Amino acid sequence: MGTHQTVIKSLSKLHADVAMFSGATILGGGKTALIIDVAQLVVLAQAQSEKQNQRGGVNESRLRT
Amino acid sequence: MNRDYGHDAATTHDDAAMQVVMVGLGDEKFALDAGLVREIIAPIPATQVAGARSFLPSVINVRGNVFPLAGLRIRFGMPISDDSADTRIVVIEINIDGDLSRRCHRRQGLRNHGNPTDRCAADAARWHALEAGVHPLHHEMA
Repeated sequence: MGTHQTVIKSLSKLHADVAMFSGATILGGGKTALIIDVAQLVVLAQAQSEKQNQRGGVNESRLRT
Repeated sequence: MNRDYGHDAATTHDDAAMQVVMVGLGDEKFALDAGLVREIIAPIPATQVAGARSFLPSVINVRGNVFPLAGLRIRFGMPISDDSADTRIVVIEINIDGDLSRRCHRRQGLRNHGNPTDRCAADAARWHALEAGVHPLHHEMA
């Protein structure tokens, strides 16, 4: 936790399909850390919850009847 | 005068010959065009990438650069095994859609005929053979 200034490295084309992370960085200890693309994560979560709501809505109505 | 021993391609100047790095995966042997290989390193901790394709499960830090680590065993559908003393990561540089990128393959045992050197001349599997399936990817979470 805390604040870090860091150099962001982009992920290679091989990981172009990974929307969740916008890049990576190297931590002080030499470890690689991925940088979460929060905006993308929200978009992904919204899409997912919409799907679930649609399905969940059906289930709920079944339960109620 | 017997040049059939060891590094023959390097010494006979045969235009058709190709220098390759031999790698062992399970009981199989594969060869990589030596020109693609940048370095061969001992296994290092990898960071898993959520949502990535199964054979590209993680990234590693190689001298300050973040490289994708490919699992040839996964790609080839070979059984995954734990790292052994002979496991190495081969860092290669390839061109993907005009983007020069490096990727690394984790391999078991860089052995050729008991020779500890990893370079040998052979007219063996070409890169696309490997391209069809890269290697074991299974490791310690960073």
